[in-house]
Amino acid sequence: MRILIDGQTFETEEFNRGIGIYMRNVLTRMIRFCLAHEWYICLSDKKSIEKLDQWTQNRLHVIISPDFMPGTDYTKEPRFTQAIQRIVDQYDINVFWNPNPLMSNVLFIDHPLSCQMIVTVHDLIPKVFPPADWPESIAVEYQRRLEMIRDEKNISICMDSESTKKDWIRFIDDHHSSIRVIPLSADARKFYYQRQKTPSINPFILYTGGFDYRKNLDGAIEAFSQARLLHSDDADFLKYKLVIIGSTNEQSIKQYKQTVADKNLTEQVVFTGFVSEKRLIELYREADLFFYPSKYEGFGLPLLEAMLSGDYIISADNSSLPEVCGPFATYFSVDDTEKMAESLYLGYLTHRQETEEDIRKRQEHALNFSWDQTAICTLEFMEGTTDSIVPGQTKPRLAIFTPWPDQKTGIANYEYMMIPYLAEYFRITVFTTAPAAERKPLENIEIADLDAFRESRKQFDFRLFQIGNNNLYHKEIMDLMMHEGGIAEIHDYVLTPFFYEGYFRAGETKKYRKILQMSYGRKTGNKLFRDTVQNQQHPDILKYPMSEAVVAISDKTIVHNAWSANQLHSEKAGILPHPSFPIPDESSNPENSVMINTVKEWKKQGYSILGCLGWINPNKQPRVVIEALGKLKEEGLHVKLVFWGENKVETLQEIICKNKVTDDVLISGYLDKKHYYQAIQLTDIIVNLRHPSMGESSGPLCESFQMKKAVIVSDLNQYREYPDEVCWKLPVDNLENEVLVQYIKYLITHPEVRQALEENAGNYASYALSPIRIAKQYYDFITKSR
Amino acid sequence: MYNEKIDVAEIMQQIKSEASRIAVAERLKESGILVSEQTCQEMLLEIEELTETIRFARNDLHDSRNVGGIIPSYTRFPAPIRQFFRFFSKGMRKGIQFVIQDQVDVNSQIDTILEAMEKKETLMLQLILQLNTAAAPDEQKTI
Repeated sequence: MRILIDGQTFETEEFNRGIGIYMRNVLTRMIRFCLAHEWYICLSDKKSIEKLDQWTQNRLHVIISPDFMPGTDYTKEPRFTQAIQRIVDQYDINVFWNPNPLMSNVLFIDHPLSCQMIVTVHDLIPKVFPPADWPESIAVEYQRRLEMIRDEKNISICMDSESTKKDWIRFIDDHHSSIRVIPLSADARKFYYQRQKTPSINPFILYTGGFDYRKNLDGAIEAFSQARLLHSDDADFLKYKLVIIGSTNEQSIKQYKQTVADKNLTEQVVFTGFVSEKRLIELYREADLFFYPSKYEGFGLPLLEAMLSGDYIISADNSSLPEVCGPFATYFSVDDTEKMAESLYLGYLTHRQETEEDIRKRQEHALNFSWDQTAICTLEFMEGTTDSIVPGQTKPRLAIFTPWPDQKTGIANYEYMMIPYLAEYFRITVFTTAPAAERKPLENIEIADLDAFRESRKQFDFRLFQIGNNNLYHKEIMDLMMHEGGIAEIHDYVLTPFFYEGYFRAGETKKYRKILQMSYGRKTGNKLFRDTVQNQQHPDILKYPMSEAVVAISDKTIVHNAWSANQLHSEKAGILPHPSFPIPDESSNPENSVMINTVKEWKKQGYSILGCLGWINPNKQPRVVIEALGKLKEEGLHVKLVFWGENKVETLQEIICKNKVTDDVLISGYLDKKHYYQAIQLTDIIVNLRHPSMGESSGPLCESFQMKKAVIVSDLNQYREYPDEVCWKLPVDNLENEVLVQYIKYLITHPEVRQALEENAGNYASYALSPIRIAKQYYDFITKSR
Repeated sequence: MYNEKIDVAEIMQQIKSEASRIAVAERLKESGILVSEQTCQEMLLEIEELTETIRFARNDLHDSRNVGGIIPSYTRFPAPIRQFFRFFSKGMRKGIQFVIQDQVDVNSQIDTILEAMEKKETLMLQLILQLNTAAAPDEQKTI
């Protein structure tokens, strides 16, 4: 799916406020949770994108045009709309997401687009509190947008709260069916604070609402004053100050200060002015009580921030505020200042009596709101708008051409695992070169000879050809694809050895020459062919991977990572991530091998186990890992290293000896699947380095995520695409050794961080790499035109 | 989905920065140059900036490569590649010894350049060289 984002908010002041916080958090997470989608953003200034982290920037296609500059000159909207529609057409966009459609300082489309549209309505404040100072042009434009969102059938609406939805029904429309309430969140990693129940030396009540009429600062000051008068006998309460965060114009501040002075509260009310985020977090943590007398909120983000910081909440009871705080606040009506004052005092008394357990419960409630969840719901809402599966419809027929177990190839196993998930969407027949007697059966799936396809080709709606580097298993499949056409799935970005061995060396030189020409044009293709003939050697695989030929021949091409797609640079290429399949149950408790027993013994003795999975090849950088182990031992860490696989590096023992870690390294040799899973289970930190790497999928990496393991990968190519929250990235340069030592040391000495990394990996595997989700992405890619 | 209380991504970045800073400072010390914290940070930023530029330029290079063969003139490169060359020139001013010719074989020379630029070691040694030669003999030990 291709999703276009209206990026105007990046270029307005709102980016630093609630809407910007929403947009940044939801956007960065949605991209992390779905590697299969392609994301586009339109901006007027290319520097605006730098407001996002580098990882997200790399995954976004940025489209720059002055037409996307935000503003209040609505005469520019026809041009703005045309520019958006051009992008929709050019990139075949499925969904246009406008995260901020009702703010007056951004432009909005003046007629519907040809794709699905999602808008996020944060609130309907101008309807609830009609602004007296709005120019007519803004009021008219606001109404136009509301009516367009209401009337256009291809616009779906996200709302921040049930309260906003109720307002929508009340003011705009009582029968719009495409509304989804998706609550916001607060950044727990910033605001969460494990607070101890200790008396404050300089206690204060915090107010962060702002100076807008709707925020009701007047009410806050009046209530604070009345509470002090009503309870002047409570010396402890009188110690409390009211700290007001926020900036406004000088005149306004002067007036507020005068009000405070008139009430004789100059010493008790503190105006901080603007504070940095760092200071804001400190103030949340230092405050005992959080006072929120707002008259209306689409969603009260500050309430969540305060709850996460451990503050006791005293809040107004209107709009979305009870949805946010649940039972964890003292509420009041903003209509009665005396009751506000009483609630403030009651909140203070409750706070005094509450235990640390009470604080924890409130924090846990706030933690239930998560940006991850907001992003997942938004993503699924977007995906749902383009859903083309009609319940009860006949599944299309799909022919899959693939090696098949017991053929000893990863692609055979991959297909064996994936096809049950694809069968939810397709009626599948497998065509394979595997001898009939050796084919592993799969329930409800017909498995036939490759040759049988020619007789039954008319029965199939789609054809999917599995292309890998082993000409023994893939040559016939490739030949068939050249003849029949269809969709290709490339498992290895570099196919040069496959074509060289399978065609040139097999005497099919004309075909080989044609493949080179298809990859690199007639002139270069011919030159490469002449070089091959002359040197009897295939071209440099790094420069000439030859997978371009597969793209040229196929109708569409599936690759497993964005790096490979970028190298191919073809509109035909689509990314479907390598799924993380559930670990089979039968893998538990196999008979222990000697190696496994040794490692178990090490663990009993308190050693941490580093592990490298699969064949030991030079490109897995065993030297780097062994050198790091040597340094860790020198520093006195209890750590051992296991290579779970067979050794293909002649000098490995030499490297081990040189680093004086002979007693600390184990090479397991070949492991069957059951012992292999047990090996992953026993490993504390998996080091999965590759250099050079050419876009190959790593099944062991996905299995490590699935088994909730802390993993360190090389920071290059396809590995860079996994979020930093899921695995740690090791720079590929001359500092890698030092950084690797520090990563491992930290993970060993901070088990809570390692555990967090493990949880993240497991959750990522279960959601973003779920074969159930990815099967749906296969369906979309295969069945929809590009 | 991700642990809400511990920001493991941020921790990773901190460890990486700190380990890199210490390692660069140590290597510069080994080469006989005393480098201030600020210089060290600036150098790291410079290297980071250059490698990022390379990363972005790489896709554009592959665009050119796809049209096949040798591209005859600098002016026929797409704008991002020209921009890359400007950065490359900047690298040269810092002591990297490559020659840009009118006739550039994209398939060979660019990769050599990229490889050299991506290996921070090469770049860093050249930076050290440049720092060494830039300083007067009696100041050479302290920058």
